[in-house]
Amino acid sequence: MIDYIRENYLDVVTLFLQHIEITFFSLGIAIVIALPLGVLLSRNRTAASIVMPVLSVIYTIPSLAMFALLIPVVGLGLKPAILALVAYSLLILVRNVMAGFRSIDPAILEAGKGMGLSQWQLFFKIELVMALPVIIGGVRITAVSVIGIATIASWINAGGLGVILFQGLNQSNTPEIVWGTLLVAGLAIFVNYFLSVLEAMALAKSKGEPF
Amino acid sequence: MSGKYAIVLEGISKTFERAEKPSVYKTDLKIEEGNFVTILGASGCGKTTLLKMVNRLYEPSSGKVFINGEDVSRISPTALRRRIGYVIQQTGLFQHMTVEQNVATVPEILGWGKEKINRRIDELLQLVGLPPAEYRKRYPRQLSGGQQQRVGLARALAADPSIMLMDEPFGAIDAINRSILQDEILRIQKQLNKTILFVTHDITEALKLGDKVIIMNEGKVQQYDTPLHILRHPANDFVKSLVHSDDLFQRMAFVKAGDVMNEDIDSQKLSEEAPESQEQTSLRDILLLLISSPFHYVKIKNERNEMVGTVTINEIRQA
Repeated sequence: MIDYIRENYLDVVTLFLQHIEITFFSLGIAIVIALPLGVLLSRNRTAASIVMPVLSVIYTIPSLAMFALLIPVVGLGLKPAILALVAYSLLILVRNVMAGFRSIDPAILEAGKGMGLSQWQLFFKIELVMALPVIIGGVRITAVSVIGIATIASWINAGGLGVILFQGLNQSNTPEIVWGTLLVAGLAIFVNYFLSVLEAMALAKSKGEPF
Repeated sequence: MSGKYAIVLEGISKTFERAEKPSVYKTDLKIEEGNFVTILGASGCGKTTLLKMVNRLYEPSSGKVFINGEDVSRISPTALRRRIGYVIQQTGLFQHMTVEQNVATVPEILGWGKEKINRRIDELLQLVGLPPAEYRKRYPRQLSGGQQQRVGLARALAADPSIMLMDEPFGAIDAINRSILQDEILRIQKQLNKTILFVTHDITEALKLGDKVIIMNEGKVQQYDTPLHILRHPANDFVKSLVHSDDLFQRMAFVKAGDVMNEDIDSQKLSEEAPESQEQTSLRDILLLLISSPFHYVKIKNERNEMVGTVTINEIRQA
């Protein structure tokens, strides 16, 4: 087991970093889309009732099928991988952004508005702080699922830890299977822990509690 | 438009989208500067709608609102609201900010200097009875309901607005603390001479606090007058049944000694041992003093502790 790492550590580190890269970019792009979209949908129920089912349908497409579908459109490699992962991420992210903003006590908004805060002041000083714990919760769940699904992206030449795992499966190489699994799981557990600490901090902040 | 009136409503109506009836219907009102005016009515009578049209949280369907002679539709809503204090029932304190940060909200938006804001926070917390050293750094969840509303009041007063709008501010507070807060807001209003428009569904509160009371029903003002006048001369059956003006004992609770006392007195002739009370004391309490003492009068003192009159059973009868 240890021998495998000793002989291949350069490859393993490269693939590990690639996996982080895919996750990071997918999540980043998804957050940039989901934040304004979620805010918009939290204020417009009609739009939400149209957009949310679409995101739900995307979410139910099996990942392998999704990757295959994207190949004729954008080819192989990193691009279709990130595109698919962004599409998967949107449902949970948007839903949590909406839930975060809808969970704000209306009295707080009324008081803020009544005191003469502008829409932007209200948004950045009050609403965002209040919604943040739920938003980070969404990012945490999404990050874990992106790390998992990104493994499959190795099928379309996107690289990442899936390369080790599937190579091991094809060649019945136990050390490769075990290391591939351990590294993916370890990454997911670490990211989950890190984000749950952030989430707890944001929650304490929004309630005015010491952390 | 004379400057004497702090708030003027001219033919204000408000019909909400998809509503069959208007919430407020063709209402004219003039609120004098420095007056404490309460708006009394059942839920759904339009009192909160009326209040929220003053700071443009709602826009009237027709009619005009003026504050200090200025048409509010010509002032941007945010600028207008920064000039008007606003207190609501659930306090709406920002949970993630300390007491001092909450109070500093509007002064900071207005770009006051740090020093000035700091001094203002101390001044205001003192005013509402929360020692600054102890309370400045606390978060809202570390305060009782009554204390939270004191912070809400301090926050609304922060930029020294001449007009305060209060929407059932003590509605969620227990009876004992409510009574204490009512006395405090009366003291504060006297001290600062603000114009206050105060919505409540509590008859006792409306009559106790208001220099004048607006009684609303079904979107219309039923009567706008002093508490005493409303009790003595209810404008219609609705007002009559609302304030129980037939109930003499109830009425005595709202008539103050200062309103009816005999001012033509010779302090020398009054006994040292005769019971004493204040101008603000209700006749109900005066009556209790009378029956529990051997004297036939109660001495009334003003705020400076000077003897200003007496009340006998005759004055009480006339009320």
